[in-house]
Amino acid sequence: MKFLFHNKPIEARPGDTIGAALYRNGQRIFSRSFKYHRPRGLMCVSGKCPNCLMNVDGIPNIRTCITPAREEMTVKAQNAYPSLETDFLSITQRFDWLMPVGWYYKTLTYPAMWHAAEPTIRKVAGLGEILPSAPTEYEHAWAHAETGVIGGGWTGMQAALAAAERGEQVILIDDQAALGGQLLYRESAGQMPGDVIARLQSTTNIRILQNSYCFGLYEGNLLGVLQRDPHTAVSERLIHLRARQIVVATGAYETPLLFPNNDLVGVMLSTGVLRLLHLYGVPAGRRAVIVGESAAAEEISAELGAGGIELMAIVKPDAVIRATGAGKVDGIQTQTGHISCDLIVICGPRVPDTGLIAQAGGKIEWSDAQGAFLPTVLPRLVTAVGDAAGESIANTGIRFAASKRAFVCLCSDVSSTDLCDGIAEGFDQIETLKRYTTATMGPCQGRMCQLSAIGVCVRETGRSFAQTGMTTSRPPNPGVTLGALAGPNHHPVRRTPMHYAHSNLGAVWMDMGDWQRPRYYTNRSTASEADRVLLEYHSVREAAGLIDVSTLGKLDVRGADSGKLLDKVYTHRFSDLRPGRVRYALMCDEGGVILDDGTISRLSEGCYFVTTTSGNLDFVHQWLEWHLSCTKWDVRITNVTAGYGAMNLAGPKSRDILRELTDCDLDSTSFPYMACRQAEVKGIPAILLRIGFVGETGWEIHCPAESAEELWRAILDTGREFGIQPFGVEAQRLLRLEKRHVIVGVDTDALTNPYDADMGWAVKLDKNDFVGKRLLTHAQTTKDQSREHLVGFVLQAPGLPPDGAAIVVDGQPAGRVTSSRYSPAKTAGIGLAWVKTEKAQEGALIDVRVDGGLVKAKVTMTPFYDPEGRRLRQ
Amino acid sequence: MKRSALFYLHQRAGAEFAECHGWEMPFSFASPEAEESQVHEHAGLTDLSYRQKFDTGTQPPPPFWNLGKNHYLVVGEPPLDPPAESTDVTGVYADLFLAGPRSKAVLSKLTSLNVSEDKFPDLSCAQANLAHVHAIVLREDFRSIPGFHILVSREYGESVWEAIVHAGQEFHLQPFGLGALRLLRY
Repeated sequence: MKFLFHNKPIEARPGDTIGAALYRNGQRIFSRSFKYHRPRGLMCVSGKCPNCLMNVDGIPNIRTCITPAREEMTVKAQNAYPSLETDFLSITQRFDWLMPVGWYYKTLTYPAMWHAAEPTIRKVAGLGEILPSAPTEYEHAWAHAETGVIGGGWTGMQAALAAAERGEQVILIDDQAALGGQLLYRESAGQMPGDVIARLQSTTNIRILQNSYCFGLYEGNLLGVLQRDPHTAVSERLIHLRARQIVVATGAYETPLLFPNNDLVGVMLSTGVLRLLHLYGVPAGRRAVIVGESAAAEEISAELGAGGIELMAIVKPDAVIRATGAGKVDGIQTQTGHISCDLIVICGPRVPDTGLIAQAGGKIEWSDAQGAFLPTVLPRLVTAVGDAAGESIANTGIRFAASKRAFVCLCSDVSSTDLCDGIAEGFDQIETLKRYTTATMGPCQGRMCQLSAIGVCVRETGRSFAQTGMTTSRPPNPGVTLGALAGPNHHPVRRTPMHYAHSNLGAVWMDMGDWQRPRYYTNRSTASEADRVLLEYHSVREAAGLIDVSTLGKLDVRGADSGKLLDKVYTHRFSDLRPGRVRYALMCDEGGVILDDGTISRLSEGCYFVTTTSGNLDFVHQWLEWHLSCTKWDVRITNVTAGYGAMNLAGPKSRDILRELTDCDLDSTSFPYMACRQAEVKGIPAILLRIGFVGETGWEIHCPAESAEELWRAILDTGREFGIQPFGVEAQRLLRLEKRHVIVGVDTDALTNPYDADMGWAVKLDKNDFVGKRLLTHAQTTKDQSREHLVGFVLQAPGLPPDGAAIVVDGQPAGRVTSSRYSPAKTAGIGLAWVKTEKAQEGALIDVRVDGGLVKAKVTMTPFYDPEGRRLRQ
Repeated sequence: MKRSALFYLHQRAGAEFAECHGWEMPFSFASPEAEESQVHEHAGLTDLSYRQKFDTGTQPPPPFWNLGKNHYLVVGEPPLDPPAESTDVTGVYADLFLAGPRSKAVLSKLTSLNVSEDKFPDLSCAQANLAHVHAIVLREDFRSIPGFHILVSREYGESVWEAIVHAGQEFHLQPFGLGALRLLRY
């Protein structure tokens, strides 16, 4: 197969990774480093170091050394301009003396310099670039198992088989393309028994997750697993795996040695060389020098010979002075002289992969004997086996030199000298040293550098490894894309039963939480929003309007003690509400602060119909259940919000329209304001509430959701000859504002009590004890003058303040605007605002901040439109 | 006629409608026979929102679903007698029925609920988060084919249906109508 690398076709064999195919085709420089733009080549060939990160099909930071090649992929380098071979920014190396560790904390502090430098630094920093148009598909999945085994090497496979034999449901997670771990590329690790994989695949209670890495172990043995399946179109699949017990068989990984120029292209870990050779058939070089202690080095030399790589020498780590070459290795300088070579094979220390054990709360402690941090105490239901527990770990001769070009952190270009400077500045604890130098904080998350960083710290501070310790392992490690965590691009949306009727009328939508509501309707008109809203407004005031209020929360409350519960939780009295009546319902907390409002209708002796604001239904339902739970009252509360569609028909012609659709007597004598009836409207059973949020004669009609659209259409059809218009949230806001009707949460806040907002009439202090009674009584008797008051205002000049605009009195801030609109009734801007008590008087003058200037306004304590409420009661 | 939350979604999918207890429900999307065999072999999703549902705090006569302490749900084909002291919640929930041998695999992409055979056998019920929405899941197999009723608050109906269809793509999930349902049941 072929893929494109910078528009050059590259041949790849089946089973090749992008990195292996590029290497076979002669590519040696794979990336440029973060800070100094030094050329970097393959080093670990196992997805642990940052050297092979490239942009694949528009997605940045792909580890090409472990990503399978696919037909027609497009691969591009990143962080290198103009090319990998020649990167202009590598000139920064000449100025490394200007950029010691932590330089950005100490320089550029002159204001002028920082403003100039920051945009440039931001542009230059970073590795890959995100292209929003890159096609991605993310999936989530959940899995449950009795035993989760992490790691599909020899030990992991054995653990999975053993657990399955005990009858457990097992999930085996492996991050490679095939099971086997080291057995696949290290002859010295042993031979792969032929039948093991076959047995695993045929055992029905073992599920194998290939190409999956475990990035975190969370509370309750919840594992975060990221799967990249090359055979599907899914970019990444995030699996939430809950396992009763976990076996960590993650093995150990090799880390580099420290010596000057240890990051040159052509310096590779021995396991990297072996993987290239045995997994992909690619010899990493022609003439190699092995750096390592005898035993390990001998092992590798035999395998290199078999792979056709000429062995020039074996050098002990202590004898290395530096690697030589301009960008690419051309030799190694040792104590006994210079050896030419094109490949330096590092036999580095092997670090047990204990991150997950640490996340589970296990203890990881240093072992001098083995030269590694090993798990010593494990939490319940978590076991560590194999190299992860330190089985064959024997690291000797770890060398931690201090030199400018001995790179400790490859991801951030942090050298051992940088670490020494940091320690000298006082950051001598491993955690603070890490944060100050950013060592271990890059893409490799410490895999290539943590041991070296600790080693340098030990050397400089004179403390032991045990005393120095490790940095905290936190998930996700390795990193996870935000897209994978977010999952499928699917945000739940809440739609009313009349949703498509609104679409057909050209509704312009607004999001209110998850609900979609019409802001206004275009209805085949090209007029502006302001004009359309005005049209809807005038229809309601002069003829009739219909608005969908299905988003209101609705609770069915029934039982002999329902009245008692409502009396306890709301501020008004409801136990004496006669069947057929509706009352405004205000709810406060123990502090007397307004929580929510709505209406409560007594449908029958034992049944109340409670409405709440759209966003607060869940809270109100829980609040009622909470207060019910500490009594033995006979009350049953059911959330019926979704079961009813609701619409408000309002306007002087609303009775004429409704009369055509129902036999219910709508005359004010039989159906007065604040009454409720149950009747059929167009044959559909409905609850009719005669209330008036918008200030005109009208009914709030609730009917079964499955018939709500039908009723909506029927009312609009019948009302057409009377001039009915559907109206949206924007018009409703204006209509209610003219009536000075408060919206909880918009005009009130987390400190408002009913007396501040002139709603004391809704509080019945002569009831039995109810929620908030004590502090409401206190508020009502004390009449604290220092509290602010909610008032209406009429602007005396053109201009409209935004919500939250300041009220100014004598040049001082003296309150804020909560809502403001242009009022056709007053032909002026109006609004509601919080002001100090002195200004809460009819006719008081205040200044309102509008567009950076001040506009005079007059305070009013009564509604702007129909203050006596005559139109409502018609 | 009464319409479920999914009516327009079914319309867009090319459904042919039929009357079912006063509701306008999809009879078929392709053909009842094709839809039936899809459910037998892979997975299918249908809309049973017309079923009557009652919520009560006192144990009713069987059959019923016990959702929690003093919380029972009675669901069934109309006409149903309302149990004593119950509230009619027929319209509150959209009832999406996911059935077929791959239905568990589809669910495993949408919810953390453990629907394995030993933890969630036939006639189990649970409440869980499904496609980011609170759901009541009722397992009702028919003739050894696993089936799951997914009850969500009506306003989320379209969202959840779309999420299930999307998750079911890799398992060849197809919508099916009343025609196929009849064939599957008898």
